[in-house]
Amino acid sequence: MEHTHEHDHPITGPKTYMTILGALVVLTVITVWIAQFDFGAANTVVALLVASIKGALVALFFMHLRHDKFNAVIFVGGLFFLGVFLIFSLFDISTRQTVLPSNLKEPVQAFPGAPLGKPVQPGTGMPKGQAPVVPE
Amino acid sequence: MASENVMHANGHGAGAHADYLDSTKGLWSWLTTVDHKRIGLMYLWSVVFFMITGGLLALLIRLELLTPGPTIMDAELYNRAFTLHGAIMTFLVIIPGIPAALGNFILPLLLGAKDVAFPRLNLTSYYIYVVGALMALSTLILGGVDTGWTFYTPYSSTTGGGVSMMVLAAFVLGFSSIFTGVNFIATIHKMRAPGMGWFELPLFAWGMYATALIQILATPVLGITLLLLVMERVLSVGIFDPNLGGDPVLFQHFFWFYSHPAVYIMILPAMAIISEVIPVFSKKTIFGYKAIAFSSVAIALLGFLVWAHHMFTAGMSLFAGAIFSFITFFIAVPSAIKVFNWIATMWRGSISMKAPMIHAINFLLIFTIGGLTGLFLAALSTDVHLHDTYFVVAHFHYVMAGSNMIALLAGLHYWWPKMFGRMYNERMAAIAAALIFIGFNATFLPQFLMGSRGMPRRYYNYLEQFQELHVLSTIGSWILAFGLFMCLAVLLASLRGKKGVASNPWGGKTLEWEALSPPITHNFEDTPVLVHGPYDYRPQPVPVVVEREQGVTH
Amino acid sequence: MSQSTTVPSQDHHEHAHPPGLQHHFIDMRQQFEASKIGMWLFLVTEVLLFGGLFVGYGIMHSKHPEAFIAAHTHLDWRLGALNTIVLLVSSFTMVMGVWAAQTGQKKKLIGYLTTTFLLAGAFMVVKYIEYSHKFHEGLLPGKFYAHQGDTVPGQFMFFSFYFMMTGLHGIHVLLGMVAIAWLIWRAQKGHFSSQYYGPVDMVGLYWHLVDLIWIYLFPLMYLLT
Repeated sequence: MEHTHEHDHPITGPKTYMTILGALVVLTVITVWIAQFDFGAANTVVALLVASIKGALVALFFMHLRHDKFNAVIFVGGLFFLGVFLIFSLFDISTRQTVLPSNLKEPVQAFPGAPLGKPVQPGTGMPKGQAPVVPE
Repeated sequence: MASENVMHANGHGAGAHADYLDSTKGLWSWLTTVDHKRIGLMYLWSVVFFMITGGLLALLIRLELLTPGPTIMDAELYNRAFTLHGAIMTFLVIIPGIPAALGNFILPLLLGAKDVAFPRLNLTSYYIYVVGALMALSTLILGGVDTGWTFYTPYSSTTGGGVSMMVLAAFVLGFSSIFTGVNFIATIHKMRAPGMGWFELPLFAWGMYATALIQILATPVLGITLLLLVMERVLSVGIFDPNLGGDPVLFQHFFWFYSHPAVYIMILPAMAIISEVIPVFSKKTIFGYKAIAFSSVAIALLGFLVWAHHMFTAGMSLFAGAIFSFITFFIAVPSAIKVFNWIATMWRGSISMKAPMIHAINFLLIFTIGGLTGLFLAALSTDVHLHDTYFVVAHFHYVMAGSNMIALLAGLHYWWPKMFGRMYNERMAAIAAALIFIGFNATFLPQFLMGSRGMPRRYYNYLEQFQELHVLSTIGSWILAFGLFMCLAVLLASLRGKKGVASNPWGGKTLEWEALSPPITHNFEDTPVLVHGPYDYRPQPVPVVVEREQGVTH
Repeated sequence: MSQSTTVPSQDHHEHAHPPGLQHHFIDMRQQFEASKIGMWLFLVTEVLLFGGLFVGYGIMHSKHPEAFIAAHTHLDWRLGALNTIVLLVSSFTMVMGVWAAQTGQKKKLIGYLTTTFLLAGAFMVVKYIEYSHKFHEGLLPGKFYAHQGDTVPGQFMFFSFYFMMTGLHGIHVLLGMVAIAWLIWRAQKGHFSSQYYGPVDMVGLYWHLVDLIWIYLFPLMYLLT
């Protein structure tokens, strides 16, 4: 049986927690401050990076994960599968328009007759407000 | 000695040493029990009830398909019938079937534990299941659901009827499944008997562990998907609606991120049972213990990387299609590893063809057919032709229905004497097993043929050229139903006899056979200590003395 | 032909049954570690539940960047930042409560838990102010979106996600308040000691996760550029 040795570690005291809270508040200020600058496509990445530093502090100190390796594995494992979900979905979402069968030069129109990129009625494929064409 | 403290600890008094069925009396003692065995049985009867409900729906569907054109119901009713059949069988029967019913009962016994880690959570999980089941059934009054159990948008977000209720039911049932998973992982980590390392763990526990991993990692995503669908219906939030800038194929990504791993929630427990039954009835140590154990975990983890093979024809990008098709083939490897190891276990074993073993061998055949036909569907190019045909219907019934159900029956026949302390009529049980096997194949083999010839799934009408095969399939469904009812009757008939089965009728080596049949409320008089592995069938020169009787005050 | 021998369990003889130990566990340590694993597994399910929304948000954001950026200007980042600080401080008081429980200081435990509860309440009050402001302006999810004078179309989608994500988070805050109130009640009854403080620790973990999710929600909702 594995033991996480939670009890064997000295109990973290108020001083450490105080320091962490200070760091978190400072990082919140940085989050707001940094949002003024435009990093182009990296904007979200930068914001998420700062958030992740804050999240790591909360997880490691407030949630005691630095003394709790086993549960840290569980938690990081969960985040890993969330990453799989996002990235594998993006395999499709981000390549749907760019990767086409070799004999097609432009995106396939889902419903022939419907305008590309304009709203259509569900089911009929016709532009909104137009009567559906009933095939013979 | 120990008894005084045990009594003290749980307040059952003298009942603590009666078997769990008789320790306390009355309906209320069952409804408020936190005993994993009683909860397992409550799950078992609920699952049997819904299996009969879903099965009757299946019989009606097959009867409707006896002739092209209307036979006994109209098209609308047909859509609702197959949706309800799918939803009931998936969410109420197959997913909870083995883990929540048999797993709850057997897992703590296998580990030598008194109970699962969180008994009250376990009972909560059962009641959530009941609430979810009632919600699902209430859609019958609300006008039925005609979307199929996959609830694909945009149809599901626009059609009427009780879609929202059915979707919320599946959401609620997800919690039940999550709680079972949390319970099992904590139990396997922390409640093992002293001396039981990870590789002394019976393979059933490994299978349950892998299953629980998927339940925990995938089910929440289903929950949020279904909530989004309800939001789409109520608020038109737009995420799945192309008219509003959303993406209906995204729904399929969300849905299959759960529902493909859920396929392994269905098959891993089945494999787990087979891994227990085959060594016991071959009287041989399991071949390739570590390979079987790790392949369970590999299936669980790889299962998260392949979901979009359900979507090859949905308008997904070819790039993603190629990746998902490629990874899907890898899933076949751990599955095949298991099959080869089971066969190697049987090789030169002393095989006794008792009912559980017959079911296990049926499983091997049916799972192999189901698994291999899966490869046809994993291949991008063939799937374009076979997608949404009866080939797919037959494939997933072989894997989900056939393999899962037959493994459940194998486990039920194997552990029945332990659960109830009574033996069923073995001869009749064997005949029922044969009938189930014949009926199942007669129902679904013709569907492979139909599918490869172009019979689309979920159609109410069909061309006359398919009728012969449809008739064959319908007749098969009657044989299957007869076999299942016979099986149930044989098992239930045994309950009328007196308890009196030896604690270990099959000669099993795992810990549950150390307990009495049926076990006492706390499973073991004293914490058992492991002295050999779970499948140790080497001859033992010196029998180990059990000192169970010591310490019992009469 | 037996698999095992049995040994009488020692614990029952040597110790009196410690308060808070459930019958099926061998000792307090096994109980604590089991419930901790259970709690972390539950937190993982929470992460994936919210994760689905985050993935949906990310994909829709990348599909309609202009609409999302235009829509987020209707949010007041100062209120968001205020709520971030409130939650961070409440996380701090929560972890101090756990510390007080670990060191067996009943009065401090109750004090810290009460502060946490009040801060959670403050968070909900700020949330209420924000929501009522949005309702007033017609900044509502999906088909109820009725804001006048938009120049960029499709902003309803941002508010669909805004309300679903902050709404689900708000429900979690409310559930956390119920759990903290329960802890306060139990602490006053003297249930907890330095030997038995599992429930405080578990609710604490849950509360930190609620904080953690907000840490990500804040820049994604209020600070888009």
